[in-house]
Amino acid sequence: MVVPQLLLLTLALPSMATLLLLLASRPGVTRGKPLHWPGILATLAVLASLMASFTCFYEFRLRGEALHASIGEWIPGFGATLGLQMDGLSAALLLLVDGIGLMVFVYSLAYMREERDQRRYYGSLLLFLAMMKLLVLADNYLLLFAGWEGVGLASYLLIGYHYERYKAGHAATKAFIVNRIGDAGFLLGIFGLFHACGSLQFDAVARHAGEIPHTALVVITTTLLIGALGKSAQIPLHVWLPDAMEGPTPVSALIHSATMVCAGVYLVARSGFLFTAAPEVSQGVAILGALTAVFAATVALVENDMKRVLAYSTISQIGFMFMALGAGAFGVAIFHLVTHAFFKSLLFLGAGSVIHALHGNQNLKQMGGLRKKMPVTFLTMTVAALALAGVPGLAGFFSKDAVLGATLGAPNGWLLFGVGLGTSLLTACYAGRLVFLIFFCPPLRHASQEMAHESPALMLMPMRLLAIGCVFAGLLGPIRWSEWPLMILSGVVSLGGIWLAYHFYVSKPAARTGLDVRFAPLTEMLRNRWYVDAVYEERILDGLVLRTARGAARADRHLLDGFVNGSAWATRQISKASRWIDRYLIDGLVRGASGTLQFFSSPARALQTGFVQTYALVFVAGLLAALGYYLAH
Amino acid sequence: MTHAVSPLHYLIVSALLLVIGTLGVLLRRNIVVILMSIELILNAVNINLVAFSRMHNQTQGQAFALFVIAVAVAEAVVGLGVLIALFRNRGTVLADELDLLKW
Amino acid sequence: MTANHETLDAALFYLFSLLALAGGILCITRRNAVLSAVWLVVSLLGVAGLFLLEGAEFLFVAQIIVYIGGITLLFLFVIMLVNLDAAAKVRQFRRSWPAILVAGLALAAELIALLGRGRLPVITGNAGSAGNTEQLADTLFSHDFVAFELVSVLLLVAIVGAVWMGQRRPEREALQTEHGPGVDA
Repeated sequence: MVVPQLLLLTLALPSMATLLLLLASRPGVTRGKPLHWPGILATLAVLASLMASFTCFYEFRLRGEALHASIGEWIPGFGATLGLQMDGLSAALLLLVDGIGLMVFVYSLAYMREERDQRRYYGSLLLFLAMMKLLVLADNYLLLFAGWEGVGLASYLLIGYHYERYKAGHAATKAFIVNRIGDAGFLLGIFGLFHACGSLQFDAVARHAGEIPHTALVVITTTLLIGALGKSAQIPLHVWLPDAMEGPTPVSALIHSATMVCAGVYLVARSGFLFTAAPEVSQGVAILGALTAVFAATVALVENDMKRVLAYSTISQIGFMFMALGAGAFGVAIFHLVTHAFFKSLLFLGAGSVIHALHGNQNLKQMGGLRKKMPVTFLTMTVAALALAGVPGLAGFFSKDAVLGATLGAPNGWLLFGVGLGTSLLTACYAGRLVFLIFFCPPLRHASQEMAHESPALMLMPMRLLAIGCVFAGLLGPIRWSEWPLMILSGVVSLGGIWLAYHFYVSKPAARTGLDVRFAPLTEMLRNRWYVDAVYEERILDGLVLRTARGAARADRHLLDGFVNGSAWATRQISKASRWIDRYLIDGLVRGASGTLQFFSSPARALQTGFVQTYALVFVAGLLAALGYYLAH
Repeated sequence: MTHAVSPLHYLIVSALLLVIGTLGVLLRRNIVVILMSIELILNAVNINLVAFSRMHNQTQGQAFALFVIAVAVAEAVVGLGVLIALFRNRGTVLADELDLLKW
Repeated sequence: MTANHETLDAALFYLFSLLALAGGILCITRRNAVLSAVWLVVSLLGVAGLFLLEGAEFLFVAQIIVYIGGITLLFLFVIMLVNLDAAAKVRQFRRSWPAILVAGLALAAELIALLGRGRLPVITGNAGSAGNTEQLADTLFSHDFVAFELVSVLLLVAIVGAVWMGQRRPEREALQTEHGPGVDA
C-alpha cells in the first residue's frame, strides 16, 4: 500500500469508528452483556489502525527519511495544509498512542462491562484516539492545534462520562477551562509564528527560525509554552488533572498518563528549533518543570485517594520531561515520555483492577493485604511502581537517569540536578507507599475487602503486556552508559526512598504519627495541595471572575431594560400623539362631514315619516297650491 | 228658496263631499274608516260626472260614472283584502302604527 | 206648475244633499266602525237620490245595489273579521288634526271659489225621449265598449286578487295570538 494512504488510514480508521458509534441510533442498554458490539468494533478499529501505524513505521525505517501525505491546502493564504508527516518523533508517539490505546481498549471491554452507555464511552475514546493521532501526525501548527482541541473535547467527554455525578461534570468543565487558558496562549503563539514566518508548516518554520527577531521569538515561545503547560498540567495550570480522575480509570490510563498530557511535551519537542534559539525561555521551561516536579511529588506523598496519587505522580514526571526539554535534550524528554507511558498506564490499570475488586473504593486508608487475593495485579503493579521509583534495571531507571544527566548540561544545572534528585527520592517514597498501603499493610477491617478477588483475564492480559514493557522499554532510548556514577547515585536514591516508605508504612507505622505531629503545618499544607486549588477557586474564580460576570450581567440587564423601557416610552408617546391627531383632526373631519350632511338632510328626513296619511296630506297641500295658483291667475 | 237648481249646486255638493272624504282620509287613524272615506271621495266624483252629463245632455258622463263605481268596487275589495292581511301580520288597523314605508 | 216643480226639485235636492254631506261627516267622525258604515250607507243613499234627481235612473239603481248592497256589506264583513274593539278604545284622530282641518277648509274654499268663476246654464227638466237606461246602454256598447270590457277584466283581477290575498297562510298564524284574539274564521 502506498504510504500516503497508509498514513491517512491510520487516522481514518478510528475517526470512522467514532462517527459510527457516536451517531448510531438509540443508546440501548448494554449492561452485563459480555462484549457488546460497540466495544468489539472499537477494539478492532484500534487494532487495525495499530497495524497501519506499524506498517508506516516500518516503511519509515526502511526509507530512512520522513514520510509525507497531503490532501491539499486547508485555509488559503494561511500557510496551513491538510497534511500528515511521519518522522522519528511522531512515529514514537504514534506507536505509543496506538499500542497503549489497544491495551486500554481491551481492558475496557471487561472493566466497562457493567456500564449503561458504552457506545458513548467507546465513541469518545475513539474520538480521542483519532484526534491524538492528528495532533501527532500533523505537518503544520494549525492542524496540530486542531488535534489539540479535539483531544481536549474528547477529554471533556470522557471525564464527564458519569455526568449524573456532579463532581464529574464539574471536573470536566474545570479541565476544559484550564485547557482553554493554555489554548489561548497557544493560539497567540500560532498567530505570532505566522506573522513572523508567513507559514505554519513545520519545515517552513524551521527554515525561517533563524530570521525571527529575538523579542518576537521570546514571545512566541512563551505563548507556546503556556499552551503546553495547560495541556500537560504543569504549574500553574495543573489543577485540572487530579480532578480529572472522576472519569473512568481506563480513561485516566490512556489519556491522563500516557498520551494527552504528553502533548505539551510533544509540542515543545516539535518546536525545538524555536526553543533552542531562545535560551531564556528554555531556562524558564526547565525551572518550571523542576518546580512542578517537586511540588507534585510532595502532594503525592500525602494523598489518600489512589488515583489522585497517580495523578500527582504524572504531573511530577512530566515536570521531569520539561526539565529535559529546558536543557535542550529533546530526545531524552521523549525517552522518558515513552517509559513513563508504560509504567504509569500500567499503574492506572492496576488501580482500576483494585477499584473493580473493591467495588469502587479508592481510599488508600481502607486497603491493605490484597497481595494474596490479587496476585497478578500485585505483581504487575509492583513492577510498574519500581519502574516509577527508578529502581536500577527497569525502564524508569534509564530514562530518569538520562534526564538527570541532561540537566547537568543546562545553565544552573546543579540547582536543577539537586531538585531532580530530591524529587526522585520523593517519587520512590510515594511509589513504595502506594504499593505497601494497597498490598502489604495489615488488612483493615473494611467491608469492601471481603469480596476482593482477582480481575478477569481481559483486564489482566494488557497489564501483563505492559509490565513486560516496563522492564524492557528502557532499551529503546538513549542510555547514557558513560554516566555510570550518576546511575549509581540515582539507584541508591531510589532504593533509599523505597526503604523509607517501607520503614514508615510497614515496619514502624507508629513513627509516622510522631512525624505528623512535628510537621503538622507542613502536612496540612501538603494535604491541601499547597492551597493552589483553593486560591484558584475562591480568590480568582469566585472573587474576580464571578463578580465581573455578575456585574456585566447586571449592566447588560440595565442596558437592555433601559433600552426596552425607553423604546416602550417612545412608542407610547408616539401613539398618544397619533391618537390626538386621529381623534381631533381625522375624526373631526369625519364628524364634520357627517354633521353637515345631517344638517342639510334633516328637513328632507322629516318628510319621510312612513305614514301614508302624511303623504296624502302632502298631496292635498300640493293640490291647494295648484288651485291657489289657478285662482290667482 | 225658489231659485232653480243649477249644475253649479251639484258641483258645490260634489266639492264639499270631496273635502269631507279627504278630511276623513287625512284625519282618521282607523284604516277601515279611511277606506270608507275613499268611497265618499269616489261618490263625490260621480256626482260631478253625472251633473256634467246632464248639462251636456249626453250619457257618456254616466257611463264613466258607472265605470267609476266598478273601479270603486275593485278597489274596495283589494283594499280590504290588504287590510285583512295587514291585520293578520301586524295585529293593528291603525295607520300610524304602520310606518313600513320609512326605511 | 213650474214653480211647484222647481220647488220640489230644490227641496229634494237639498234633502239628498243634506243626507249625502251629513252622512259623510258623521261617517268620518264615529268611534264605532259599524256606525261609520251605517252613516256611509246614509250618505250613499243621498248620493243615489241626487242621481235620480239628475235623471240618471240606472245609476241610481246601480248605486244602491252595488254600493250599498255590495261594498257596504263587504265593509261590515271585514269589520266583523277584524277585531276593532282595541282600535275603538284609542285615540281616533291624528295628532295634527287642526292643521289638517284648516287644510281641508282651505281646499273647500278654493274649490268653491273656482267653481264660482265659471258660468253654467240652468237645467230645466229632463231630456225626455228614450229611457235613460236605453241611452246609457247605447253609449256603453258603442262608444265605451273597450272600457266596458276592460272594466270586466279589472273586476276579474280584483276578485282573484282578493281571494288570493285572503288565503290563510299557516306560518303567519302565530302572530295573531300576541295581539288579541284575532281572526278566527
